[in-house]
Amino acid sequence: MEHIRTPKVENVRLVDRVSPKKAALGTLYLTATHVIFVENSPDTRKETWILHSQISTIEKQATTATGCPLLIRCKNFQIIQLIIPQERDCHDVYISLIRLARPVKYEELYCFSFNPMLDKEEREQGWVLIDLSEEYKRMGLPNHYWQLSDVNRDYRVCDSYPTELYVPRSATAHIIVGSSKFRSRRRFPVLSYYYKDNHASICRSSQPLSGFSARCLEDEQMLQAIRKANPGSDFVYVVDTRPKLNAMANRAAGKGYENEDNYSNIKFQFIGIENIHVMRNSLQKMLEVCELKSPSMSDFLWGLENSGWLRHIKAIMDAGIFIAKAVSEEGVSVLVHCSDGWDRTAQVCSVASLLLDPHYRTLKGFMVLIEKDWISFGHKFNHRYGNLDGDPKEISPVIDQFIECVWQLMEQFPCAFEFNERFLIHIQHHIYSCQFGNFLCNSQKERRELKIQERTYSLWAHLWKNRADYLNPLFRADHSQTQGTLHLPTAPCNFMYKFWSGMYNRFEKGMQPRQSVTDYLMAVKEETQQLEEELEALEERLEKIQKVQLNCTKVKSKQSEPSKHSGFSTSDNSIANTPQDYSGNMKSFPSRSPSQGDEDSALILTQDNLKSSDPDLSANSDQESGVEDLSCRSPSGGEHAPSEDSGKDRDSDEAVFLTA
Amino acid sequence: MWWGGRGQSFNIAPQKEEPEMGSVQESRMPEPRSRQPSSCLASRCLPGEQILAWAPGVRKGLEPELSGTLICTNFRVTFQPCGWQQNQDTPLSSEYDFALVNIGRLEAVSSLSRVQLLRPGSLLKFIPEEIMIHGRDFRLLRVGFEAGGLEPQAFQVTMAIVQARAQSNPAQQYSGITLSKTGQGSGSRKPPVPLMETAEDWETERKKQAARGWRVSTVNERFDVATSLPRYFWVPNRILDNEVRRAFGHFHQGRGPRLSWHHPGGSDLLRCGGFYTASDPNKEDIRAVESMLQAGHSDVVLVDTMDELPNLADVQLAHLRLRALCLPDSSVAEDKWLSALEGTRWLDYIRACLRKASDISVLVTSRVRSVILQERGDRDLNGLLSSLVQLLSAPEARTLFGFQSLVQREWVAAGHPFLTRLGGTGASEEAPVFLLFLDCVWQLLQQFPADFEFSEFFLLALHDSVRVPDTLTFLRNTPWERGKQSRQLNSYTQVYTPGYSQAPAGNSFNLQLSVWDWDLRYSNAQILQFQNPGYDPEHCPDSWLPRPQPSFMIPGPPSSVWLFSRGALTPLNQLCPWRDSPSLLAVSSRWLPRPAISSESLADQEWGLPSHWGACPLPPGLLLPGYLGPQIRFWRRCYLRGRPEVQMGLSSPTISGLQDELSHLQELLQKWTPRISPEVHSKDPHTILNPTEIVGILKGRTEGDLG
Repeated sequence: MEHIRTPKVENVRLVDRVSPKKAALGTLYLTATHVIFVENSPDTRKETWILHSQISTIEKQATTATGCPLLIRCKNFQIIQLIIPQERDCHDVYISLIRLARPVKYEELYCFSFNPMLDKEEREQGWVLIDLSEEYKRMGLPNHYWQLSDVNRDYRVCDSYPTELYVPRSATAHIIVGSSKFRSRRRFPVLSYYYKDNHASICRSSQPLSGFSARCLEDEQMLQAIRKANPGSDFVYVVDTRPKLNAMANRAAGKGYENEDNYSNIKFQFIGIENIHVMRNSLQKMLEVCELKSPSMSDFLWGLENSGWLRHIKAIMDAGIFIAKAVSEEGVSVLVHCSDGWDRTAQVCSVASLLLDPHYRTLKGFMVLIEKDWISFGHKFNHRYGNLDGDPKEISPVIDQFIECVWQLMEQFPCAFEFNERFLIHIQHHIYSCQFGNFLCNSQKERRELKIQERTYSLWAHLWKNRADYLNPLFRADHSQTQGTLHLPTAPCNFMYKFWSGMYNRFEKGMQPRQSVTDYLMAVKEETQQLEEELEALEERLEKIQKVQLNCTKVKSKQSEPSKHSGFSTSDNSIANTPQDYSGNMKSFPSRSPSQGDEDSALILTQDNLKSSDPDLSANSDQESGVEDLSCRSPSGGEHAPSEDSGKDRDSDEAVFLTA
Repeated sequence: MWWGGRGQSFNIAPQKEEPEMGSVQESRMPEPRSRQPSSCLASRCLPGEQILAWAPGVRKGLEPELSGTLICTNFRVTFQPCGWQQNQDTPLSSEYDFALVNIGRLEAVSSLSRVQLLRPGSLLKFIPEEIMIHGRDFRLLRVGFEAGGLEPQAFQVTMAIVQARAQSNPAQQYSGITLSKTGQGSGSRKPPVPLMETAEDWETERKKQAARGWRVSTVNERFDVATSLPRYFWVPNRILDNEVRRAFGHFHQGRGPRLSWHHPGGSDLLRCGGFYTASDPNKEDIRAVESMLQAGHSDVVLVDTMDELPNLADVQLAHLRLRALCLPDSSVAEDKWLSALEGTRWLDYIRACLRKASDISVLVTSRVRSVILQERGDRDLNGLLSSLVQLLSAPEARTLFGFQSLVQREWVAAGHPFLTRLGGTGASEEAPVFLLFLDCVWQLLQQFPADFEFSEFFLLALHDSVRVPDTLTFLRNTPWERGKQSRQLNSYTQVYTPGYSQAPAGNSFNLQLSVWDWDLRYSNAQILQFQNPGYDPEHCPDSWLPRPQPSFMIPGPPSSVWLFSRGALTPLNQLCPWRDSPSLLAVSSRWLPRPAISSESLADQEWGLPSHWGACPLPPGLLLPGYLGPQIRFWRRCYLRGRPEVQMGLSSPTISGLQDELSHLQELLQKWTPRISPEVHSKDPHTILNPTEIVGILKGRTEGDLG
């Protein structure tokens, strides 16, 4: 709190980025975790909340007649422009935010103060929801060829690796340690994914310290052991995901890449994915296009092309496709590395796994995938996403690119993924939000030292609890397309990759299609489910009533007829052909009509869940108004007040039923 | 398989057929060949159709590949998969037929060489292993030939296609198709969509729009006011027919102001041609012109349609570039795709059309101003803008029926020169304005998926129909020419089908088939896919918002006339260019003052930029499309159909997803049905509801309460 120079500024204007003439007048609050803007307008009191950890840059612009403008760019691609009347206030806000947005200690991050009102047990359960040892079991490990190694117990060999690692059975501790000494940051080759259909595997490591001529017998034995662990194949692909030039430059520094002559039976392959600095600049260029006030066709298409962003996405996808094909079609194991083996390697291994294994395309499977290839293998979340104040040159949208690759795949295989776009967007949001402990620090070791699991909550449990929000209504587990490996054409056709407006323009509501087919389908699906449940409940009651009636001989069986019809009238129209006049009954079911059901589900989809599931997201009133939008534009929109809840419906149902 | 397999009895020697083909071309109404009528009918050839050559082959680029027969006739190239049963009801196939005029490029490929056969002077010097037919509609037909003694047939069929293509006449309809179709039905059949060729059609539509101040004029019944205009159109009640005639003479090609659409709020949308500057109107003429333009409104806005929109040459060039870009072997470097796409300008033109249309919609609906669209020819962009405005403002136009009626009225009946614009009369005037329009509609479909009753599949069907000469809809330039042709066809029917008892008089138009007779080429299952499962007519996106604020309704000063250009309204002193200019030679099309350019469009001024919409109330039923760069999408499923790599895995997105969804719901319904009524259960447990029924039921369920 000592960094907040001024907790409250009045008469601040929140400028609408696209039509600057329109600005909302309100009050700006600075808290320990958020910047909050509350509009003065009495009927809305719209609130905009921004987490400090989401703030990417703050820019103080030249003072004008109306005041001093402050531009805040967020890591989730939101842009906020404020005009503060007094220069002094503006300066105070600016200085405070500069400090608040760049915490120096982990303890300052939001997750250490965030309390979702769960007890200790619930929190612990949340942390075990995603269990990597279970995941290796699912892959079919350990088995005849692969075993769990304890060589990295207490992080003795490599401090950026997890303690639990799978290595070939024939790789002794001696070989492992020897190999680790020949690899950057001692990240020796270990298993990332095992394809049990044909024993081929994806392994990962960092670059070898080969320089121009150095060799290491143990490292050569290590690769040999990986090859032997796949008896069906007589060689191993070694994929260096860097451009060849970069790899060669590393040789001068005593690093580099494998010499095919020194290793028996390897096939070496470069796949040119650019480094983190190129990617950072590329994103920057693309965001500049997104910031254009009224982009023309050429602004947009030229800008997008010149940013190179989609080209980079394609490079990552191509690498993933290459590996998936090698594993599934050729049955050849692949060793992937880049320089340190924690950025491009993580991207490529996880894309390949996603293509290979339908499990990773489910909600839980996707969480496991991120946990395995990113969190456990020491992707440097803290450095890459700038959670703590650090070297800006370390920041790069590495996992953002992976998340986008997943989205591109979802666009091409709409029935193959159990989760929807919103799931990806929320994960991206929380990687930067630091609201949950999952993405803190740079390695498992650091997280354990910080006792993250005892002090913070897990995002996965939170997402899982609200999974209804994240389901893709088109998902078909039994669809031929969704089973086994996803097959993408290898032919060069980069027009398959599209600009992800839902991510990079997500705060520009007007940029999105006005109606979402997905939400509509989701609503229909939920409605169907509700009706089905209701039908069951009604049938049960009907049975009971009929029993009562049987006992009570005075009551004619006729009486049960209309009630039967009224009960079903909601679910099938065809009944309209029956001669009975039941229109009265239809009318008496207003609150539980299917259209109302639609609305209920739309609400479930949006407002309720966003509120409960995502305190931070929903606290942001921009999101909230989007929510309102959805619910009101839900298929049955109508004139119904959204406040009618299902509890009330049930009551009226009951009443009608009794009268019937 | 109706063509028979190898060694069937029909004659396949192409050289013998050639002279006969020539004769087919000469006589417009060829008699069904007496030499092989039985085999033709048996094989379900169209009347007058002859098989020129055939070869067994494998259709490639699909999963899985299909084996069948490639056949070239004097009408079309068609690939018939083995075991494929010609649907009894569809004489043509939308999937397997390529009309000869649709063939844009023909390539023969062997392992050693590759040649484009439609280039002048190109020769086929080898036996092709595969041929690729690139449709001008972006479709691709790739057929590999089987080896093993049949190579001569592969050669023959390829050469036959080249020759037949060269001799095909774009203006010629598949002769006898009307006959084959109408022969099946009962005597008088009603067209699926009013063709707007009778006064009753116009009167019905006028009543539907509740255009009380308007009447149907019969002044052009003999096409003597303008051949490019329909026989009937709407003029203000108070204007007499002789005044109409008088006024229309002062417009380019006699296309005076007519009502396009009446907004329930009271404003009108009119369209007319440019003022005929060489004419010398007297005072009465000018009064007639003015009162027709004002149509009883005190406040009218004149819109120069051409302003800010591409001209015909621009549209044609953009479309050619787009087609070149989408060819599988387009030479665009991999990372230059986006700028190459931009370079076609196609998306930019769509953007301009959408922007202008939403501005005009704002004028007509929320500002309740009457708008006159003025384009020199009044036959191209006026139709495009007028149709788009109606799609944006009138929910009825977004139904399947409404949209087809709209196209029939604003394009076909209004005399859009389809034949010329689609390249039927030589390249000079070619410009696929209609295809530009369809892309605009597709953009709307993307942005408002719940507001349209028709699906993307329907738009694709319409897109592909413009190159199929099965009906006259797209084969003529004016209603007059179309009428001439159908009358001839009528007499043809009477002469050549003695067994066919059609009442001869009074219903001459009943026989006329139009593009809306979808069952010529589309099976019932396909036609069901024209329905957009996401359509929800009850869903009114903006009904929850407060009604338009009164400030939108403030009328201008009395009797004011405005010019709308570049997002700004400029007051005009007069509607016609003649009144104050003593010398008519001084009159130019640019007599109007150039207005100050406003960077914001009208919709922007009213509601902020598109990114802001949704926060402010819109008039009910009005859709305002986004037209910022990132909001305009590329219609992959249309333009990239010829790229085999795109066809795999990718061609099944949302539409089929929705179909899946429907079948899932169908299962659920089935599960419930027995529980609901035992009669249904006992009837037939295997009866499966078709998707429209499901949609109907679903709709019924949603509407149940509201109704």
